Amino acid sequence: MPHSTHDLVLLAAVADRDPDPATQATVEAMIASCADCAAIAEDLRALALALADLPTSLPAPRDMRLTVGDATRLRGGGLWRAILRPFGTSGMPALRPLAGVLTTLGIAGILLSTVPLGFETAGTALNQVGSAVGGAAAASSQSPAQAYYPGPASSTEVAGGPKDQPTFAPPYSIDSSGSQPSASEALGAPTRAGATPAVQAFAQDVGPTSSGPSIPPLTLVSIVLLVAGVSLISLRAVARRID
Amino acid sequence: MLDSPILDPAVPGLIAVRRAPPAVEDPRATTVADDPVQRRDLILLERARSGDLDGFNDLVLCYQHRLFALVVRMVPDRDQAADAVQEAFFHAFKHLGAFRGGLVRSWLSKIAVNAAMDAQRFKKRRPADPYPELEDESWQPPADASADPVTTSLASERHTALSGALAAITTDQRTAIVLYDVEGYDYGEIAQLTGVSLGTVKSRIHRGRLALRDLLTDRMDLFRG
Repeated sequence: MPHSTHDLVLLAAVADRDPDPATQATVEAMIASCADCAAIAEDLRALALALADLPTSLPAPRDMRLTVGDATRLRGGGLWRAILRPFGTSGMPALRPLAGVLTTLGIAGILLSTVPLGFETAGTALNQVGSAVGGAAAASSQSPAQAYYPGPASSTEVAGGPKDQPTFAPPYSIDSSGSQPSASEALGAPTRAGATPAVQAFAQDVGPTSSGPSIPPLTLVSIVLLVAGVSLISLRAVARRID
Repeated sequence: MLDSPILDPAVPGLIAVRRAPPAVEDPRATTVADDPVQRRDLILLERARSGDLDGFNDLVLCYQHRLFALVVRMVPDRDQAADAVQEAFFHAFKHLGAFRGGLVRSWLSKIAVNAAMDAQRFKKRRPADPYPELEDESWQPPADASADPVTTSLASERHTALSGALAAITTDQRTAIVLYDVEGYDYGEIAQLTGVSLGTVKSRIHRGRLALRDLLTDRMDLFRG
């Protein structure tokens, strides 16, 4: 086989410290069968020896020592560094798993509290767990749907519901005569019974607007856990960067 | 010569270039007790960590020439190389807390390699000085007692030719060859430092060797025998 067909890049592995056996065998075969390859291999070995023999120390053209000014400048942000150091890689080793656990619990809790489980009691039980964990207000015995929609559940109750239970109008309610909404109605002021069933149903769909939605305790606790976990992860990342 | 290779002609087919494995670069290979240099370095590092600038500057004095020799072969412009070494010391001082044990020398070398690669990447290339180590006439490599003038002169000429050829090959090939053949890093470490695959590192080293040989074809008699 002519020399021109030989892979010289492969041949250059002859000067490696630890070539793999297959490469070594190929290279040895090339050297044994081709005088040109043998000469190149000899040169490459000699060059590798010479490279390894280069001086490991050369005079630096200037003094590299740091001045007091350099040190002061480089130590800038010392307070932040001191504050963030416990969160860095040299800080508490349990911080990373803790952040992971908090984040996972937070995400799982939010999913559990928002994804409909298909049965009412599960939501109630989860809310009670959330209430117990978070030490929040006493758990409501209502389902999450009931907590969000305090109005009557059936349309018949909407139509003829109790007079003392407020219902809420949409920003633009349309009465039966088709006239423009009043100012108070346009501002979302609650209206008492007397509105048409269509308006009542719309109000039920829109949900409460004046008193604000109530957040289930489990969701609240999950959000707190998620924020804590993400904050720890962020702090750790910043601390590692600074460190 | 810290890394003088050992050639074993008695074993045919064995790889000719055999240097001591880069145990000095392996943090687990050397303990504080059996390496006085490392012991000294750790003491200086501790002083620096406790806020003693002189402690750090003593460390700088110990390593500035070594790191310059490493960087000037990767960045064959003396000014850029000096800047890179200075940046490396700044970085080391700023991140003293990042030292996780192991060899201080290895830690500083890796910082310097990164600084050199940053210099290659971001600084505008200027014409390379082909003979960096001979520019300073006042300095000569230390000669041992047994070295005769002919040997010393030959070694100096060899180093000059090799440095010139190194400066002429591509940056990637030069970096890989300096790290592997001169500094003794292994393929994995170089791949990690340069951010390329193992195969790319091998290819760069092999192609770089061939390029060096092509550049030094007329002067190969310096290296033979």
